[in-house]
Amino acid sequence: MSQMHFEIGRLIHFGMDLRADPVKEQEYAELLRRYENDIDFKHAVRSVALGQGLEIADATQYGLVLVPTSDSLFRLRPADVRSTTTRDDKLIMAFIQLGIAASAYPRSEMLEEPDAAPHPVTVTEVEERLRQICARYEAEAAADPDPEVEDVEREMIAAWKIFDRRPPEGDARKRVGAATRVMIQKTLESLVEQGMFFRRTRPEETAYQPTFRYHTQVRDLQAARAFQHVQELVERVSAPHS
Amino acid sequence: MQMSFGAGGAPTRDPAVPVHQPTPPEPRVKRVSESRVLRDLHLEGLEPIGRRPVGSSVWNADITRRMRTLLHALPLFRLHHSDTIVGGQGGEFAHYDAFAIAFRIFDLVIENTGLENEPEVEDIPGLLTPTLTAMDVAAGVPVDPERHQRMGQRVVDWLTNSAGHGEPYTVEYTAFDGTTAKRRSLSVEILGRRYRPGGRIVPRLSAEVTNLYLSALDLPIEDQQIAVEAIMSAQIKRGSFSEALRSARHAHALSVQYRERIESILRETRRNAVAVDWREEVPTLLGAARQHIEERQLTERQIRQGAEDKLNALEMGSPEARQLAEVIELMDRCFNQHGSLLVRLIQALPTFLNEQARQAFVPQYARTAPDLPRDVLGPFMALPQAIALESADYLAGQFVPPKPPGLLSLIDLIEWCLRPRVEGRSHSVAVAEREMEAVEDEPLRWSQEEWEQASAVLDGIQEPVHLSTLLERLHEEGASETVIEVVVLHGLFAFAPNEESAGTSPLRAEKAGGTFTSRRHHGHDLLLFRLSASENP
Repeated sequence: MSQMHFEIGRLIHFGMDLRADPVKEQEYAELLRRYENDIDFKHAVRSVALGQGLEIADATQYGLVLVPTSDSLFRLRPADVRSTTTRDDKLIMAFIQLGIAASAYPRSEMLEEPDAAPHPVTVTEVEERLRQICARYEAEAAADPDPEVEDVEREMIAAWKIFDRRPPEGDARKRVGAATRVMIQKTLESLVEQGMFFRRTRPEETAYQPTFRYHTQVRDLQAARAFQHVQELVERVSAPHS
Repeated sequence: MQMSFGAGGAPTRDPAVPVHQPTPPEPRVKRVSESRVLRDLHLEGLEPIGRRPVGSSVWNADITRRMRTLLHALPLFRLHHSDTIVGGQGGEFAHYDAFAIAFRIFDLVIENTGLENEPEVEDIPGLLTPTLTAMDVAAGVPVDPERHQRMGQRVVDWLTNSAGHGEPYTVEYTAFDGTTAKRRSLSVEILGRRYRPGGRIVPRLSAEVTNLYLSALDLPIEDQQIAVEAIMSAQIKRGSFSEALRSARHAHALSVQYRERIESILRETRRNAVAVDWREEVPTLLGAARQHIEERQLTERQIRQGAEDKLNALEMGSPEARQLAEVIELMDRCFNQHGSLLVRLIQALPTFLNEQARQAFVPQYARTAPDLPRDVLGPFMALPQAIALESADYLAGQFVPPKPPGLLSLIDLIEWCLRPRVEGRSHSVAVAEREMEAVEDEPLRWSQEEWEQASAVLDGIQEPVHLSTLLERLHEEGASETVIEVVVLHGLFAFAPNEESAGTSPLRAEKAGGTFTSRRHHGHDLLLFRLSASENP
């Protein structure tokens, strides 16, 4: 085994370790410098990572930011976070993840600066953002007739209604069908554990500050991918045969 | 992809600003005949200056540019009048001047930008204590550190537009498209947040507010650097060292700003290497930046040499010498910042070319950032439930990091299963009893007389005083070094008393937000104030 292969493994290992910090670990910092300056090493690291189902979103003095590919073994699924998940819960969790990203980056310009840290988000802000969207759609649909039974059975009613009918407050111990604020808080807390946010305790409400890892992941890859994916879904729904 | 190193692309030089160079810069514009000038003006539809009728044009683009910079002051003026910050008459914050506090924050941010111990956004309220204490004293209000924290946070929240979730303020103004007046909307960011290595998030003033604060209006950074260096050089020559120090701090802040901007451009270029013009645009940009940096380094060396020459003629430890020493230190920092940036620029082109070759064969995603609430979240929530459900896992998974799957180690499992149960054991070793014997009193570091002299100095503190000021006074009064040492230790003790001795000092100390150097001491300055009767029962 060559030294280079070992170093490639070490760098990916550091990238997977959420606590690793190049400011504190010299070996990590040196490997990042090599990644930046040695083009062969860089290509080799990218290829090995990709083979494992990992893309490199960024590799700078801040650290190596790895993102799992869609079929990656390293991909975290909602079931990994909550063992008992209903279909409604699964959908609400996707809304919440997108709602958190949308609250951290309410305007597209905020995704353009590579080092500009977004403002911290709170549970209330995410909840209000999602409720506002529901209220807007509800107002738009005010004149529509009630859905047909067949549509309800085929789950063809608008997805926002799932969120809208879930109460914001409720028993925090409930594992299935929990209140939306409870689910938002749990999602933010799990993002804290995953090194994507850190807590800022404030007298009024705890705020959650996106870390550089989250910023890079959303900014460099995932915002554009989520956009592309949703566009494809919208086109599929509006296509004549659907 | 838009890339620019300044308002006019490559760094430009203002001929009105003297620059200290070993050789005069080559003229960039060839001399042209008067008839050629008149012909060009005619082609542009302009009369020569002096022959144009006064008030003949409606507007020009320069007015808009300058107005846009000045409009960044509007949210600050709102702060000056706003009761939302100080809470109106009679409130606990009524005696504070939020406008002045905002400017103290600007100063703190600029002064510490790029330093190793640069404060984080969350640290700012704590650094305002001396300013707020002085406002308390002036208004005859008891000093309250918790109120300081709350007030400082209010001003920081205003500057970062916390109520608007950190989005820029919006200011409307009128500008002209040719001769047509149009209302335009300007996004105004005052204080932003930037990631730093090590997971820190530091405050950054927007370029426009920095320009406003430093009275530079709309000059690009490159021109500001040239101007500030020229000013600093003249200040050192005529012996205005305190002003030169202020200029050196400004120059340092600009060098950090310039480094961050160039690094951001380099990163963006690497990220989207395919969209860049490699034949002309990038080599021109890199070349202009290299030339600018090399010129800066040369000038910084000259300023440093000039400061050193002056320093050698000054009495050691005098205030002027300290100021010049700090100027030299700041020039060294600027030189090093520019040096490391130069290395990055030299390495940039080959790295970019390799990256471009790699990216050419990789699928490209949208280069314009999407509006997440409008383009992603809203449309996704409007989809039919069944369609949205199909993609719920995929979309939720976009915003979490990779998680390594755990692998079972059979050896570890067997070892764990076979591990004998650990039982708490009673004491089995007899502890020999120690024989105690009396010893003589330990010699004291300071005599009783020195203690008393130091106590008298401390008892004399009735109004808040900086430790640096106190030490300077003691030096002037001829106090002994040992007495001064006791006073310094008392100050440190008042800043961070240990648990057992808390409440035994009649003083309290807060960080004053700067450093000082006296004959034998150097470090963060402290603000000492006497505890009130309620704080020190």
